[in-house]
Amino acid sequence: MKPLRRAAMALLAAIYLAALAAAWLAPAGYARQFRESPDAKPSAVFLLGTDELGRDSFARLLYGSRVSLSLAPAAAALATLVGAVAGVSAGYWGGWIDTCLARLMDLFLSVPWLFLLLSVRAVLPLNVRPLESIGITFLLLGLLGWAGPARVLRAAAHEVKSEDFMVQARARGSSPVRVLSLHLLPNLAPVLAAQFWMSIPLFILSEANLGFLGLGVAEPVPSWGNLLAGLQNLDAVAGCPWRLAPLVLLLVVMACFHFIVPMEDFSK
Amino acid sequence: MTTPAGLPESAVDPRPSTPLISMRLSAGYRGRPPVVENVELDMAPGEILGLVGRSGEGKSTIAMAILKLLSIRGGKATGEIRFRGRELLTLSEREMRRIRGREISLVPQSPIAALNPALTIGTQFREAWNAHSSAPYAGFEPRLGELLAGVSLPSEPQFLRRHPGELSVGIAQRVLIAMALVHRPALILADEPTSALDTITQSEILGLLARLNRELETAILYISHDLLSVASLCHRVAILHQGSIVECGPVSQIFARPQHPYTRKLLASIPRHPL
Repeated sequence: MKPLRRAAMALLAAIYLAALAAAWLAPAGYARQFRESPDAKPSAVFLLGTDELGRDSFARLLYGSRVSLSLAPAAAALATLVGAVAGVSAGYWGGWIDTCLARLMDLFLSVPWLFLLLSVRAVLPLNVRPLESIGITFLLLGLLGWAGPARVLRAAAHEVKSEDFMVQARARGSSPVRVLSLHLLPNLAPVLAAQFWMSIPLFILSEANLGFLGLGVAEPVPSWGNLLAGLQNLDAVAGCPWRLAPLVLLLVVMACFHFIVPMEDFSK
Repeated sequence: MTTPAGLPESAVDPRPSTPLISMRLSAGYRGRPPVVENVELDMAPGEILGLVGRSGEGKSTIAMAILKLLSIRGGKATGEIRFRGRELLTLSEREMRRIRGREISLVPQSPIAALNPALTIGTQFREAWNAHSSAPYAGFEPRLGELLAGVSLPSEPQFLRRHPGELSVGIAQRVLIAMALVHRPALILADEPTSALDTITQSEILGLLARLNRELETAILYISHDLLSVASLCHRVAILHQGSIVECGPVSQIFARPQHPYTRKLLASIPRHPL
């Protein structure tokens, strides 16, 4: 493994562990208001200051990281799973199954996904409980993001299908279930893993975009999306560089993912 | 038996009257003219038949058609293939699956590519066993040892834990031959099994096939473009040219008195020893 990749993994792990340990690192919690000190500057008490409601920004960043960094992989897993079922079915069986699924993939890929997300999210009730909003956001991301992985897995399955060992397995009399589970899937594992890892930063960004527009995870639960939404107010940011902490963290995490997923896997 | 017009049935033909397999077959791929047309072949139990022709003449197509696996490559076969009293082309996929690997096995051309790179040799033997037997694999393991020894492979557990990438081509071909024998099939389709091998390994594999045929009485359809290996291994030979069998008969007869111009051309192209 390249040193850069190892460093990126270590940094990402450290960020994630810090987010998981939010309860210990930021005992104040994400929702508690310190009314006597709104818009406070960074200090020993409030490492990143407080927001306009007097909530500890450091605590909100840690708890927000927990939400974004836990649920993006969950959404990525969901998208990869749905994509794998659709893509492998299309690539392996071919024929009309392939034709239908490939058209559906093209359709999903050609629709501008941000508008699709927005319109689907807009159809759903806006006034939902924070926890529900987390579930809805990531379920939506996972279910709408299947087409990318599906297309890659379709091509990979199609390629593996005509390999000699697949023919040999059938010539041996193996059942379709065995051929799929024993021969096709293990050979698709690297592609699946790459798709999963590639989807995570995509979904972190998608959540951030939705949150920025106020359609993501609902207050008072923090996520990178609604933390970034706070940066919309230019006056609040001007002269207060510590407010950019969520953005910096987002960029660092994106860079980490970029180094973790090696470029050669992209070409698969 | 079918011979081209004008050729007498061989007087020394040792085959009993009921063929193991007999076919009249046309096959081709979607959107292209047929690759083989009305190919008539039959094989007796325990016989080694050489199927000779240049690359692209449809030799492998015939093997895949017998296994009913042509559709993988977008092909289709018509005609009839009678095997042990059953008409293979009318069998369902489920019935056909019970024949593949149990009664008819395939030994392929590129041994390394025919083994799954992600699985150990042991796992692939287990798969071959489980494909046709509900008996526990542990019961098969002692026989697997014998089987591996029979094809001159080491039978210790370390060998079975290896991946195909760690094997030489010759070893991989022995593995595939052993796998083809797991259920003691009546017929082995050997699709150019030696073309990827060096000459020494080639002659070892040919010797192995001849011995298996002698000891287990397994019939072998030996597909090859190499007349010398056919001469050393086969009882009879069929010459495939432009999608049809142009000549078929005992090896000694075809090599001594070739009738068809194409056969003569093939024989003339055998490299002679320079000394």
